[in-house]
Amino acid sequence: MNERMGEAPWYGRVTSATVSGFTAECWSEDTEGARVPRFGELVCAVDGPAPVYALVTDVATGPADSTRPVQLRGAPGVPLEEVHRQHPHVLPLLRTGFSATTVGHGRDGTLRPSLPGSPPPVLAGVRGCTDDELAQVCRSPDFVPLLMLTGVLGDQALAALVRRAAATHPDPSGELVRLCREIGAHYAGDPQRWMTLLRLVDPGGEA
Amino acid sequence: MNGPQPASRLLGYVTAGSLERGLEVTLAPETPFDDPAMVGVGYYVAIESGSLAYLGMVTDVRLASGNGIAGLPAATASPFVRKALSGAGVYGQLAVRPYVVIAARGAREAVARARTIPGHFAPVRQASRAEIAQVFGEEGDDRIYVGTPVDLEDAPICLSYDALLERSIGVFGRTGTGKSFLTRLALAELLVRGKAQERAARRAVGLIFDLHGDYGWEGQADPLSGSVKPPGLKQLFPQDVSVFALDPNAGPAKRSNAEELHIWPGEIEPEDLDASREALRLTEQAVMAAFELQRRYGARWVLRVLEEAQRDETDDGESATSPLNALAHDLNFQPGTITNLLRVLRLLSRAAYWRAERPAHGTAKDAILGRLQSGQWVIVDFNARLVPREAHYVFLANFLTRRIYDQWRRKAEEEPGDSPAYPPHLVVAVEEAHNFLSRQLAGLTAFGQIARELRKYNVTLLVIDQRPSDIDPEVMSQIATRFVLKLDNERDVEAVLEGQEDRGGLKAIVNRLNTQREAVIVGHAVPVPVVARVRMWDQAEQRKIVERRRRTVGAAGATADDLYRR
Ligand SMILES: Nc1ncnc2c1ncn2[C@@H]1O[C@H](COP(=O)(O)OP(=O)(O)OP(=O)(O)O)[C@@H](O)[C@H]1O
Ligand SMILES: [Mg+2]
Repeated sequence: MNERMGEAPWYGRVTSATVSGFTAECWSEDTEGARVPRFGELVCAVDGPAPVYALVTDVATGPADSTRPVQLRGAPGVPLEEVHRQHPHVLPLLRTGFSATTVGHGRDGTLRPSLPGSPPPVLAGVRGCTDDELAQVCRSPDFVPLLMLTGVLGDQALAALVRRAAATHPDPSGELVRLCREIGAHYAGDPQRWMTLLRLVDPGGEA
Repeated sequence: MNGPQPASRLLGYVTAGSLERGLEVTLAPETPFDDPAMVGVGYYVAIESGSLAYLGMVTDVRLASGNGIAGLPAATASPFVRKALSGAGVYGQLAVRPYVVIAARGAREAVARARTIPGHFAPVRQASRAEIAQVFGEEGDDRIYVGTPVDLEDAPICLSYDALLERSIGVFGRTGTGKSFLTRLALAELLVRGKAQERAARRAVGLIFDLHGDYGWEGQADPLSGSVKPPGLKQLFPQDVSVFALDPNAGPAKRSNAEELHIWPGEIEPEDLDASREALRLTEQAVMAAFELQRRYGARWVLRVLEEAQRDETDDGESATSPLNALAHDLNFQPGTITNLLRVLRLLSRAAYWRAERPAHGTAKDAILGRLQSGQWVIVDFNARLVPREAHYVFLANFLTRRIYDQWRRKAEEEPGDSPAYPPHLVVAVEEAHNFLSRQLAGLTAFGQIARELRKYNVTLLVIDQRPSDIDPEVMSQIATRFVLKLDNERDVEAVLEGQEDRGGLKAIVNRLNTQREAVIVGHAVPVPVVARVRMWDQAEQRKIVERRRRTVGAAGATADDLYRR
């Protein structure tokens, strides 16, 4: 579980962490082999006593120094690339980062759907996950209650996770229904919220 | 040991319940509860829990939904959303009554009434043929195949010959549901099994009061379907059955070689009138007068009374000095009393079955008694024009039954149970039984007596009726094995289920029976209630029964005797 996986892209390094989640900062856009994760993607903080699996519940971008807000540049109608070309000093001042909610950790070669004993260390590398890891996480979605605490972001990230997991399954539509039914038990107290989640997952409902 | 069996599918899991009220089973989301092949009221299910397996019956199917789900606009949601909701937020449920515990497979005796219930999340499956067989056994010398569960066509439901005879039997259903077919089938099987019995006391012998000519020769064809006429018992077992008919020259009676059913008034006792009082419209006073007249005139009182009355009339009207009127006066009877009695005696004396002279070869009553005693089945065919039909039927049936029952009681009391002279096990089958067993009459008629005392005297009553609510509740409570076909009336359903465990559930099932060939069987002869598709009574099945009879003769030399005794 600890070995670096060739095909999985690198997303960044942990900047702060608790056992229930972490934030990470991404490398700049031109870094070789690095990318920005998508919202709702499964990621893994690989360094530390145990790899920590987490779901990206927010992606944020803005000035690296929060005391120096970015000023408005470029006239109306000017394309973004043109703005960057005219003001080359702005881009290096920006940072992109993401926060992720823990959904499990690796121990003895298997993926457990529970919180790790300790948070991933700061500056631990964060990479993307394989389809196999995605399937393992979704086998028993016991992480849902923790995710639910993050509110609407968590629900939407969960919907994205479920859709991705089902899409890689041999029986996509069957798996989608199975996963939703399992997850549904956690939403029993808030049927309205669950219906919303189901509509997000609904393959026919995609706009 | 109770491993899942391949043929039976998982339906769901036990989620709540009590022994008293039954189980709540939540269906697995995959279970299509709108598919009649999977789920239905009256179906059997098997429930495994720990080392026990239960056999239960579905008594209700419900839709349930979690908190607040029902209020959501799910109806307009996409098929996917509805599919994902079902089984989690909304789900199907079964009400299941766990009747018996079937222990290790193969151990047939180990069927016991359930005294506890399966645990939470015990899996609930469709019952398999093997599980049904564990409870109902297989057809054999001591087990009679009567039908199959409605949901399992290849699992025979077999009832024990002994259990059937042990207690009274009722066949209830509205007209056209198949009462006569079921009865014919049951009687034919009882006859065949009876002939195979070693001990005299265990051999069934039937006395059948056949109101519509259903049991002797060809039964009546269904006027709607025009289906083939089923053969009667005399046709199937010509050597074993005698038919006595009111009109031996009528078509079917003639074909079955019927003997004449008559009554010699010298044999009539006031008790006979008493037992048929209602049907004959006799007042209590008139019956008391009959007793008084018998006391004065002796055994031939009926003939004497009729003669006196005749004389009075030829003496120009009711002179105050006529002995009948003098008697009425002496005893302080109302003036109409004697008239009432005379009206009834005249009604009887005008009937074709009345023989003023004692028949030279003995009376029909004696002949019938003799046949029964020797193991011959007797069908009493009432298919004749009689007015009013009911009055004559009730009178004749009571007249015969009272005598026969008396004789059985005497013999049973005299002979030790294992004696070859012990009377055979008498089955008295009677159609339109409410005529004899109504609240007012049950205490008086021989049928009421049989229903109450039968176990002592080796007699079983088989009542066939469309209106069980008219039958005396005390008698009803003695009818321990009940075949309940479709009934029209709520009161009738209540009456037939009185005293049964889980009446509510059974009621729902009875109300949903098909109008033909479907019966709920409850009571003594079945360890669990069963909703049965009644065995088809067709040529193939008839042939099987006749074949079994033939084998019986071949197998046991002693029984060949019975067959050709006449
Ligand atoms: N076991 C059976 N096998 C074959 N046909 C049957 C069976 N049971 C019922 N039927 C069909 O249903 C019809 C009615 O049955 P049956 O005459 O026994 O009704 P019933 O209840 O005795 O009616 P009634 O009260 O009018 O005498 C039959 O003519 C036959 O077509
Ligand atoms: Mg009938």
